[in-house]
Amino acid sequence: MSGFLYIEQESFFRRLHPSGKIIALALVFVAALMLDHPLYMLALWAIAIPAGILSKGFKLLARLKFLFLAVCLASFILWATFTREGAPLFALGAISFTREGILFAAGNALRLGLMLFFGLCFIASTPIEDLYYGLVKLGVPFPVSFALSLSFRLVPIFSESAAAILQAQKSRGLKVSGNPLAKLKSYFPLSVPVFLSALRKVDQLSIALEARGFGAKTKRTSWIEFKFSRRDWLLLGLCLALDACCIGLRILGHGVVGGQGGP
Amino acid sequence: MVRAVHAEGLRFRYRRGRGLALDGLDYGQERGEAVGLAGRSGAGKSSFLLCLDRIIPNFHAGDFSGALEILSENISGKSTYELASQIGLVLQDFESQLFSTRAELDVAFGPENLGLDRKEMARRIDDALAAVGMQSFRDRAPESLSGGEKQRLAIASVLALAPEIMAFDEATTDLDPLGREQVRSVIRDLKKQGRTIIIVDHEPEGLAAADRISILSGGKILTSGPADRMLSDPGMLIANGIRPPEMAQLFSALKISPVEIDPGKAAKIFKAGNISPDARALAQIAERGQKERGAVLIKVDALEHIYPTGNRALAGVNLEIRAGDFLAVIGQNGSGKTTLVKHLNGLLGATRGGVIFRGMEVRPQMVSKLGREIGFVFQNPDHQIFQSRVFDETAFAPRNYGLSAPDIKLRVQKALELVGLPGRDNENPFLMTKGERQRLAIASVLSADPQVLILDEPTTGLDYTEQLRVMDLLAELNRQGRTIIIITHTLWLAARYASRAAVMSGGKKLVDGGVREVFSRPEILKQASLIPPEITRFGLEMGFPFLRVEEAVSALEKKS
Repeated sequence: MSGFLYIEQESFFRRLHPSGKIIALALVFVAALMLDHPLYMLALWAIAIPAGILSKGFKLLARLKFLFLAVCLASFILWATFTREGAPLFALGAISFTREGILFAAGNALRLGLMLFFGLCFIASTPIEDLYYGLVKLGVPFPVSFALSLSFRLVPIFSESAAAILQAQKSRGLKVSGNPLAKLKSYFPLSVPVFLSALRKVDQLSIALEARGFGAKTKRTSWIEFKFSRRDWLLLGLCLALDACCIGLRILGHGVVGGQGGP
Repeated sequence: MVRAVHAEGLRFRYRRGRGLALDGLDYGQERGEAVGLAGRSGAGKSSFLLCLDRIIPNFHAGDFSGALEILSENISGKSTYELASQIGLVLQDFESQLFSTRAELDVAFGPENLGLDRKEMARRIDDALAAVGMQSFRDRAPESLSGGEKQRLAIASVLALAPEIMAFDEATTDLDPLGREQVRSVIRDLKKQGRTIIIVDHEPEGLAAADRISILSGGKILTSGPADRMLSDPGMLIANGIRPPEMAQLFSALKISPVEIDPGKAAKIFKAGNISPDARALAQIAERGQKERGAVLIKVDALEHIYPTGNRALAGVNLEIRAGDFLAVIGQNGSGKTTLVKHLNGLLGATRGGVIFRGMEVRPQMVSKLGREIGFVFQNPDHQIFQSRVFDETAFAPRNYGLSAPDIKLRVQKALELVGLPGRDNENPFLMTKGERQRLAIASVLSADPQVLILDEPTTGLDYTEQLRVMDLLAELNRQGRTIIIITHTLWLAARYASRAAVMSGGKKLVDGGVREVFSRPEILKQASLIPPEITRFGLEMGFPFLRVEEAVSALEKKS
């Protein structure tokens, strides 16, 4: 299993300035938040596809597909269940579903998925060193940037030790199946060792960091260097244009379920 | 004159610790000197190292007192990062010391923190990678490296801060034999270049690089002396939880001095004195090893395993394990040992081929059910311990199998007795020592009363006394009729305890058979980058592959 979410492969996005990528990510989030109609979301997804190819984001998506689908599906179900406005379409027991509710839920699930996907494209093409370099250049203090970047590094480490712990408990007769409550209960024998081994790892890591001069008062230098190039400006220009379009549509009342200002 | 390290009356108690971790420790070390620190687990070795760059008391809270000078400078009140360019610390857990996506970035991390300019940084990175022989690895992802390479990279990333003193805290403990030798060779090179070195190690092979060895006990220095003299004193070493070199044990038992630690040279001394093993004694030893084997219990048939990443971890392994066997599976990391044994109870499913247990094919769906017949103890006891009472931890498996309360109580008592933890039902496992937690992990698998017990590196990270304790326990379980399968890097341990050995390399089984038979073929072991234990190497020179020091003593004492 790969220890990183970052995909170790040359790509167009990999060579871009990390600060530019961070701003671009924020800009596409703004675009996505302007609209919520599923059809418009699908149009935005059409833009996401080349981004996925240029950044190897699809490779990371393939690795996390179940988590990704679960999050999108959960979002859909929640919005569809709790949106009351609009004409009722059908009912399941006491819960009735409306046309607007379904549309709104579909739009929101697509939007959440889209934002997650852009996030994946970013993570897949940005090693953690580039991430904290980019954040520092944007004025975020180094310790904060470093801690944030490192959290991405720790996710796969924790999931690896969780897998080992699951095997250990299964060998002692633990059954992870049955109804959701029983399942939740059976995760207790896993959570304690996972939590403790994570704590131990973080403790060791912080010792190793300090012993290598982390936190020194001198101004930190950087071995990696990026220069803002025409490609970076191009990316930012495209993202700004996208924002302008989405904001314009929103002002004109397009792209949202139920017209002006949403449902 | 500038002294490298000078400590006076160091005392430290961890905030929640029961006793003093350091109890008035005095210590002195000259520049350019290499000192080995050894002693039982909990003797204070690691705590002392953590004081040297003030991780104690800056990060580990507790009561700290005493005076400490590094390079003749009092360091009280200093920050850890200020000391980073004077003393470099390499830890046991190499995974946690690396966090970059490219090797050179891990090395650059220290110089970046010091705010060095590009030119100086480039020089430091080049020098540090060259010092550990990894210049060609600079663009590699650290996660793709072997354990030994990772630890060498961790050493380079500390060297890049150009510290005069290098301290190694059990830096080879988690490595396979090949990785250990790589790291030890780096340490020897650093010593040759005149660096001041501190090595904390349980193994005599690691301590041998030191000029002087200090033994710690109860948080202070018990005794100190030249390395060759200290390593020639088996009684003192054993009393302090350190494994003595096997040749030192042999010479001492036969009352021959001076001790020669190198097996080849030792054999020459015996030959020069015209001393050869007694033929009758050898016949007895060989006869004792002939044990009738039981019926076939597990049959591994053309087993192949390909991980989802495409890595072919097993390539057609055949193996027969019979009831009552004590099998040691040996080989380097990545040779397929763990993948192989995880098929035996269904933790992994075969890509091709399969495993038959008692005539029935083992499948992944059967893991939790098979736990009653095949117990699996994982390498790290902390990956399974989760209860706050020893009793509940041990009762977890029998409860899962739906046994009645009185039955569970009986099983737990029996299991705890077997592992030497009787009557400790109410203790908190997290407050126990690593050795005790390892034995508790074994008890918590034994309580399901399995006939087969698989253990993945059961002695890693334990001191000599604890290692023997765990292995004596397994020997006892084996005598009671249980089949024992261990994965181990520790060949002397396999030689002393196992009845059979299987050698893995590159996903293939190179050979399996009786331990004596396997260990008397150094050329096959060499293919797996393994070398037989010292006593066996000595024995092969003398014409008979000894597995234990006692065997050599009994065969030689009449003649010497």
